[in-house]
Amino acid sequence: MCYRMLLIIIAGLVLSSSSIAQTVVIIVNAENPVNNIASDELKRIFAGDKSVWDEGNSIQLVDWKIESNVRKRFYDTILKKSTAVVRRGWIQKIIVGNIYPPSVLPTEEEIVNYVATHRWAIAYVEKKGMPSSVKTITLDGLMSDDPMYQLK
Amino acid sequence: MNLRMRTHPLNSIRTKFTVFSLLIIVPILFFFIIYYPDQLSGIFQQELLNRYQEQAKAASFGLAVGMATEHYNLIGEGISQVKKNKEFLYIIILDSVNDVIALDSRMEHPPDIVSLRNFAPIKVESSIVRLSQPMVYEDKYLGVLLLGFSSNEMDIQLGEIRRLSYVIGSSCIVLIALLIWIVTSKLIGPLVKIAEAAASFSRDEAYENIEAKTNDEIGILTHSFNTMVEKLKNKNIALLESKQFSDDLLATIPSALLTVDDSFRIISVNNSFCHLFQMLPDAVEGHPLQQILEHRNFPSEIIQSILYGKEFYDVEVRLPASETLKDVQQDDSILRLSLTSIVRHSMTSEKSKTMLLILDDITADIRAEEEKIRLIQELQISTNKVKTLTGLLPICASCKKIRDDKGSWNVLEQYIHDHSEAQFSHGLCPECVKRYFPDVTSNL
Repeated sequence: MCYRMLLIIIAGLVLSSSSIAQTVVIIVNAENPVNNIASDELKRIFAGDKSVWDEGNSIQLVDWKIESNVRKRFYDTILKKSTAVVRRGWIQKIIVGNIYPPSVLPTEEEIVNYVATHRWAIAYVEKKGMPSSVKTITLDGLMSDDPMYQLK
Repeated sequence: MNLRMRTHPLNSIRTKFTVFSLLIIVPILFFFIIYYPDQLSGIFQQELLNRYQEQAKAASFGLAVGMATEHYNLIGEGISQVKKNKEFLYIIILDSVNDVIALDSRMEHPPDIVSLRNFAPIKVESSIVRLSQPMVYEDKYLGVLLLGFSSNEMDIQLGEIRRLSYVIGSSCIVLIALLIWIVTSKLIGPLVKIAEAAASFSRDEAYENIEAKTNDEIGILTHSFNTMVEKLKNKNIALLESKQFSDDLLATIPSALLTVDDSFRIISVNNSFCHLFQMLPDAVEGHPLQQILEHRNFPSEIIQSILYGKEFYDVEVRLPASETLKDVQQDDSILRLSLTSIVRHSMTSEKSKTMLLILDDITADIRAEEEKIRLIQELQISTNKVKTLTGLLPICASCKKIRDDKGSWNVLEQYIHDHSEAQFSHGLCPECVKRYFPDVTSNL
């Protein structure tokens, strides 16, 4: 009986942890004129298929560590590819040509700081308090609190 | 060897020595020219391969770390180092199950990945250096990095090494040949001078002593050669004087002399021979001896003895009266010759010999001898006829009888008659007539 109760509690905790996952938002440097990005463009950027902003500046990608749940959610939702496949793509692009591969940082704080200090950087983080040096941009014209927002 | 001919430059000792030396040195040099470039290129190749391997290791390490930690910069750095190499041809990254993660190739045709798997760490093919470097991070095998580099650099380097070796080798050959030529000129120069001096000496040209500049064997040879030439000169002069003397002697000697070679052809005759046989030297010299002797009616047994090479001394030869010798045989009598045959063997070869025939006209001598004998005989006959009384004769003081060797007393007339050619005719002297016949004397 006790054992069954324990299982129920653990399952409840797991479900609650997934359900409590926060919304992922796309952030850029506060000086970046971009305010919205299409999910397809975002996919191309993080797949390495687009490396410059429309203004012609090189995109400075920041990514999470491979074991990060945020990254997994982002890849599953936006890139719709596993991290291993995307990584292969990046390696292929690195050995073929001059591109700027993503900088992989271990913590959200470092990622935010990176974006705050790199004008043409872009990253995705869980929606928390953001410093004024970064800004959250809309995805497909939707704010993160929009019910249609993909990265909830 | 014909010393009148100058030695052809290609046949000179200097040339032979140079060629001989080059024949030894050039193969060695060629060996080094051929062998060493390969050795050098091997060293260079190994060095290059080591460099490639280092690059491959660095790239694989960067890839392994980069892939494991997603530090893409590390991947980029390793790859960029590899791709900076101008000989870079391809890079292939395989995962742990040999699936292709990434590939970049500058080759016209992409490399056959299947054939590159299970590749040796390094392999040099005809134009490609292929490397295979596993990617391991914290003892975890992540895959393998395959790299390909063109071997052009090695080929170019090898070509440059070879070209440089050929240039150096050829220069060495030329320099060595020049050096050998100079050295041999220094060493053999005195020998060449001696050879030229010997050639000119053999041509009876003026000979000047060669200066011996060194005290080595060549110097000794030069000095000895000068001494030898000086002695030869002196001996030649003595020989000429001796020859002149013998020529004078042969020209003036009354005996006829004739020399023949071992094929019995007349070599030379002297004046007395020409006079005796009324022939000019040109008509005799070079002709067969047998022909001349037969023409001069020599007895066949004498000719055969001569042709057999027999030696004899003072053999009388009688030549019958001949038209050709009528000046000599003035009274058409037999010409008597004294013939001596001497065989002379050559000092250089026992098989080579010459024969000397000495002929003396002894006709007059024999005639004089015969006359002398005849006179002696006549004298002896006369002497035998003359009985001469000499010495003391014991005679009786009274009866005048003479005692002979046997002690008998002989009448004077009888004794003289017996011991001399005297004959007695008896008569009376006037005193005896007076004494024995006084009557007769008184009437008178």
